[in-house]
Amino acid sequence: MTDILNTGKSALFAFQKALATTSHNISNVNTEGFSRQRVDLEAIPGDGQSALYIGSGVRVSDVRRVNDEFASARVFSATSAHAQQNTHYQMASRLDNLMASDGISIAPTLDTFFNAIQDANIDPSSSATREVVLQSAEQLANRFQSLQNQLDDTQSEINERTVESVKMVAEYAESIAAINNTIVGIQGSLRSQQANDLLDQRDQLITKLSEHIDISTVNQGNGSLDVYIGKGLSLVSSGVAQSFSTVRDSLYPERLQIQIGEGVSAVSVDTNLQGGVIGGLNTFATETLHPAMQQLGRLSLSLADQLNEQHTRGVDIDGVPGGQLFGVADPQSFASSDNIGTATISGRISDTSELVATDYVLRFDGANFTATRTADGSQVTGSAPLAIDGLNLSLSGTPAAGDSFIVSAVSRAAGSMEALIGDPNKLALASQLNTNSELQNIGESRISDAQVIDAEAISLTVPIDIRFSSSSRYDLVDATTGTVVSGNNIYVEGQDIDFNGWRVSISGNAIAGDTHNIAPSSNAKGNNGNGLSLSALQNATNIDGIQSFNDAYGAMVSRVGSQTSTAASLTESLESLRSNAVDRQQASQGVNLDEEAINLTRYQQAYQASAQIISTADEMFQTILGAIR
Amino acid sequence: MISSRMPSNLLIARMGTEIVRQQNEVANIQEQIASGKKINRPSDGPSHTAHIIGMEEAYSQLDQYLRNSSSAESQLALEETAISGVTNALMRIRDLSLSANSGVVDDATRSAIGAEVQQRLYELYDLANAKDSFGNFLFSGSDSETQPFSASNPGVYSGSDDTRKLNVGLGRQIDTGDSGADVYMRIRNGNGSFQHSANAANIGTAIITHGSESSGGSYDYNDYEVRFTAANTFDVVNTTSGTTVQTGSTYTDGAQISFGGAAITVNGTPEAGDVLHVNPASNQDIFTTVNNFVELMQRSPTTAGEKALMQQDISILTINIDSALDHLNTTRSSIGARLNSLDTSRAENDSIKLQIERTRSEIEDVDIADAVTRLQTQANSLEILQQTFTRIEGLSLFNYM
Repeated sequence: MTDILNTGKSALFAFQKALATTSHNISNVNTEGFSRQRVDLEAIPGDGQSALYIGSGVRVSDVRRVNDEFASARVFSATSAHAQQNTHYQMASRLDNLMASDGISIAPTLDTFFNAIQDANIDPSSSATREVVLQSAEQLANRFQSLQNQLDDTQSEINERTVESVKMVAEYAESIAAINNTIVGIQGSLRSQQANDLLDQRDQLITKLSEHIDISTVNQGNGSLDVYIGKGLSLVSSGVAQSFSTVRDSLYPERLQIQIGEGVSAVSVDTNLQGGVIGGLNTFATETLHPAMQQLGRLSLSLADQLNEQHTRGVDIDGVPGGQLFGVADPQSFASSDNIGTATISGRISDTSELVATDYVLRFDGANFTATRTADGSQVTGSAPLAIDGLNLSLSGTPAAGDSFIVSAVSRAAGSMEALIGDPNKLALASQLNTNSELQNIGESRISDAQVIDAEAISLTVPIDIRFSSSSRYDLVDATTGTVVSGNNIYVEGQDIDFNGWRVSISGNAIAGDTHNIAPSSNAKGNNGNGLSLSALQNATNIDGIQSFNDAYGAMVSRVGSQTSTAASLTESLESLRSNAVDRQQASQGVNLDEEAINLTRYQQAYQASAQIISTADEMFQTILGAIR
Repeated sequence: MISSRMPSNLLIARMGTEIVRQQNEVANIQEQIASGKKINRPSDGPSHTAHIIGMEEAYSQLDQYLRNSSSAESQLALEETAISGVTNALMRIRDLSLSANSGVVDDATRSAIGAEVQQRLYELYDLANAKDSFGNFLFSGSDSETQPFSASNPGVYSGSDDTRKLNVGLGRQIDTGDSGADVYMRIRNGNGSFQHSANAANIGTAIITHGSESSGGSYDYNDYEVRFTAANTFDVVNTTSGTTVQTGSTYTDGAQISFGGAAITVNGTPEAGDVLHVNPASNQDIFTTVNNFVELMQRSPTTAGEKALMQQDISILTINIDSALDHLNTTRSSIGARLNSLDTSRAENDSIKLQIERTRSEIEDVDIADAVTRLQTQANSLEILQQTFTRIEGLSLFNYM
């Protein structure tokens, strides 16, 4: 009878625990990361004293956490992959929206600028139309500046978000280390028992960590979990979390570097980091933002340079050769903060048509410099001064072996673009040289307009006469001194005659004595020769030899657009991968209320039945007492 | 999915995600309908973005070409009007030169003709110094603020020899005017190859009535003199080289004399010592030609020689006026050709604009009917999803306990 009572008691206790576990499951139905728990019951064997082997009840052998370790690992990796693309997408779509807006885009201001020049070509002597050209030049420069500002702001946002993410990662690492300690303590004392809810919490922290960075985990036998990032860098080892922080990039002053560890053992890791928000910011910066800055910068440099060059070939309303239309800053370079030597590098652009949309990292090996394009990794090695891609890099001071430098030839240029001309009369719309076929000519030969092909030629403005000595020969004569400067040339109709930096051609039948003059323009207020050449630059394919300015801008916008759209579709597919992984994980560990309702009923019935055992035992006891009485 | 468990919160969370996704989809279609565009940002059609930016530039350039064309057209029309005025005045002057050539004209008539020609000359100057709608001189080339011609300085052009061009199409430039030198100055006198004249001191009545390049030869652009040594003999001297090319040739009234690639017909009776000149043709401006007429009308020829000279000079004048008229007509037809080509390029630009607009619309514009249908479908499925949610959310065994 005592046996029955004890059996009843064991059952009551066991089903109490089972009911408690079911209630725990029900109450955590909405707890993120919670794994449902199952009660494992086992029969208590009999004492073996009687001849018949009768068991002595039930007990709870284990409260088991239902969890699929592999499903969880997949959730971690899917989470970090999705977070990376999603971050890339969010950042890229900001640029995408920016470039779509008419208030930011370069293209309409470029159109306005060239149209203004064409309007001025209609009436070059009007200061009103000239003023419009200057205003639109100003607007164009402002657009470049403000687009660059927006890109700079985006870089700042990357930095802020990186700092924030790095801080979160450090905090999660601390928490994981702390939980590791607790779990090791509990499991050590309870033997094979698991600290179920702490394990859930730790998994949840790792999931959150995965949102910021790609991690891998290794389970230690004692219940602690080690966390690694990048290529095997330890973030959490048992109960110890490495410090994780941002420092200023040693090469780029406006960028950040992430380092793991402290003091002398600190390792900078950002190039290794993939996955999560940090990886996404990194991908966005290197694949979308920095190339966009470099392309924009190169466009501003080419535009300024080509317009300037053409502008100096013409003359303004007073007959003075044109000055610089746009100003753009020289390339900037920075010495790494880790450098031992004192050297600085300065860069100058020698040919904008050769510029490549990239930065350069220069490393000194003790004898030579190796310049590496950041865009495609191609290298040039040589001693200073180094000429690369239309740049001349010169050295001052003494470098030490291992020193490195960064040269931003193009990526900051757009922000420094400014329109330099404020006086409408200084706009050089007129051709610098005027040509004239003398009225006294007997022949019908006529001279073409003069093109300036070298605005810096010293004798460009020396008046020259082309005088025919016969119908097939001509001399070039200095019109002031009368000296023949190039004699007895053979006349070919329509052939280019290049001299002193200009180019003309003559057509028609010539007769000895025919004379044509080339002289600096005077009173050329109505001349629009240079204005036409300036406006022709709109359609010239001077960037990489295949793109016009507008094409280059279009390519840049198109690139941002296609990266945004790729990131969007990748985000979508990674989102479904992630939700599949979560589904699979939840399928095993999630709480199903119906299932719990059934369990509740089941355990309740068992509990009631167990109580009945006790009452039956009591009745049996009363029966015996009654029989004796 | 068949064998796996479905945790309660997952079911609801999944529906939540799906509802958000469908709402986004509805918002997307709504944006397309509101803006009328499929492509609202570069990522909506990365492969089309560069194309659209390019088309926008091309479109704005075409608008500019159309503006340039209108400006060129009005400029050329102004020039055409001025030149047609000059032609009319010159026709009248030509009529006057014909009446002045009649044998019975006396001094009074000449003076009256001279006075009218002088008035016409002023009219010519006014037309040649006309201004365009911007206040620039039409005929002074790119030196647009300098008056090109002045009555006090006939035969001098103060403008520039170059003209303004404008772009009226991709790679197409058009001259929006002609320099005064080209319109009024570069007119060949004589027969275009050489000009002839009689020495003012001639006593006889021999004059050159016709000159042309000799058949099979071409004029060598040297100066020649026909020197009469007697009433029926003459020498021909090349004064450029100083050589005598014919000596003692016999003169017959109305016979052709050829030398140096030139053939002239001489009529009248020469006297010994009379000289006739043949010189290379040169450019003679309209104003000089007309001014010569005014000066001619101030002469009063009395002797036979003077009368012959007058006749010679008036006939040369008429030839030069004819050349000027020819030249003006050529200029006018060149203007007409440019106006035609403006029309052509304008039509071309318009049709390219239309084509661009069409292409851009195909790429960029949303098919509203289609979009509205998609919106309806999407909204329906969202609504169904929402209804299902309330059903599923209520499904629980606990409801029956």
